[in-house]
Amino acid sequence: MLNLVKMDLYRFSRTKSLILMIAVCLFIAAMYPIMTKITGEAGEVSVTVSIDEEISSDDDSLISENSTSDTDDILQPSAADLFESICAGGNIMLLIVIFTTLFVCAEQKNGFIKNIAGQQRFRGSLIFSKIAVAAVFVALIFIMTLIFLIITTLIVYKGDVTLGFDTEFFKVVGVQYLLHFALSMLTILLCTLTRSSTLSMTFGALIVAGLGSLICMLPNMLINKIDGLESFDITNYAVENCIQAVTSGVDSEVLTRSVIVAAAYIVISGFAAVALMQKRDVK
Amino acid sequence: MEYLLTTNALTKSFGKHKAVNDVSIHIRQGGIYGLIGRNGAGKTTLLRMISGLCAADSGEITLFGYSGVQRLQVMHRMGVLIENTGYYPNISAAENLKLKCIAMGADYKKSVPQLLEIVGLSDTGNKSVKKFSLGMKQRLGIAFALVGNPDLVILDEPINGLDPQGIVEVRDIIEKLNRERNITFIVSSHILEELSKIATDYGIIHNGRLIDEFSTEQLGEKCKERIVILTDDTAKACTVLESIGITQYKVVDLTTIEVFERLDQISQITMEFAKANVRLNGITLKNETLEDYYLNVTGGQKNA
Repeated sequence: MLNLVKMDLYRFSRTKSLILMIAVCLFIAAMYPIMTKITGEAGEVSVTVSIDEEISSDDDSLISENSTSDTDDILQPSAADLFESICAGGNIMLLIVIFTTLFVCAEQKNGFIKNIAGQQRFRGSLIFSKIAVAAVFVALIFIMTLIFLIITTLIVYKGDVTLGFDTEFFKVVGVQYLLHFALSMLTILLCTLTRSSTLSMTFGALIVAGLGSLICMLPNMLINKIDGLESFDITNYAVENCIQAVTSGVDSEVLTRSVIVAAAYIVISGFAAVALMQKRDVK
Repeated sequence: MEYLLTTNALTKSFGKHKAVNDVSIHIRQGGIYGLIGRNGAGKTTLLRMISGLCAADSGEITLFGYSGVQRLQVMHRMGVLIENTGYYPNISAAENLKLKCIAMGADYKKSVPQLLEIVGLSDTGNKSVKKFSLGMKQRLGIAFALVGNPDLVILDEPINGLDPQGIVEVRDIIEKLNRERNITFIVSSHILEELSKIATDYGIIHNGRLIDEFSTEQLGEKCKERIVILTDDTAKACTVLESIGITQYKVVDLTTIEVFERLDQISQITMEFAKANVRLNGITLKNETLEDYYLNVTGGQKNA
């Protein structure tokens, strides 16, 4: 099994789509502080105008003092806030689905699997190597996005920015990593099940786009009719919704639920994918 | 006799269709086993079961003396090329082989140049595999099968779609490896002429069933030159043959006798039958090739 992990990690390090994914992440990391600054400057003007209009009879000196301090607080988030926005905003989710699908399906699509599957004592180990690559990929994307975000934020705000890396932030990042890894695991399961990059990528993209919530609407309505479950919401247990919900300042209950959801997705997807690979014939 | 691989009543169905039906083959160590059958006969399905890519519905495979779950521990001693070669198209042959070497725990720094040399792809450099010709891709497939120094190599239709030069190259590679490294091969094909040039043993599979299994020597016996006599009275014809001193003959069925001596005396034999008033429906000199034998056992030309 270790040899298969080495093989897939080597393939991972040489794949062109990795470079593309990293480039997109760096672009997102660059654009967030720039757009935030632009939005902030535009907001500063509009806020100042609205305050002027509202407090027209007040002392003029008060107007400029208040407006300046309020807009600074509103429009200059920390690097940590920006990173949390990138994660919760689903920007990385789609990249994870795309890359995982391309990487996992390539072995089947190109027929390379026929060269190695028959010689394994335990064919399910072909899935473990993909899981290892998924874990590394998600970590790499997080780290590179964060590093580049710090750099661009410092440049854009000319050093006048707080990083905001406190315990709460690292807790949130840890949970987001688990959730994104869980999404990657779900994608691995889809690829193993469908053996099709088209189907897997389509399903994955729809999940990222919130299809899960749409599908859950009817079951939710039915469950809510049961006594005691009126406020139950299945969508709280969908990985994409958990990703969007996890930010600093969120309830510890939400964090705990997100960790459990991530763990459940990881374990169930992993077991199911391994079982499928072990039992089904290789095409 | 020591068999490297045997199957016992191997069966595989896809829905209602039995692709492989109760097949028991025997592969001698050090031989080249030619698995013959037309398209859809069940060759690929049989080889996929042997190579671990699909599970049999019933039956057993014994490989290097191991069967059942224990067989998994010796699967790494087998190399396979099933149907088209599987490769990553945007990287070179060397990079592709390196990936398999890493997966098998082989020393890629030593193995990759050696393998490329064996299959004649040393000069491909960084050329991506998608730019290879079909022959080059097939040779890469053989190289994949040789990773890890296997004792048994399974090649499923390795010469399909190749030009004559490509066919000769693949044939030479197989013969050389068999001779120099004592690697046992199972080669499936429906191009009988090519197979007959290298195979030491044969198995004929038809509609999922193993029709016949024989060595080259046995094939020689089955296909050797003979006079075929067609007559309605085989008993009287045998009496005539013995009266002229012919003892090496065989009564094939109620209307056919095969004679294996005096092959240059057809006219004299015909005269003797005429003198004895034995009516002949036909008398010919026959020399069967593997193709003729195959067509006979599988039901003739209409099933080719």
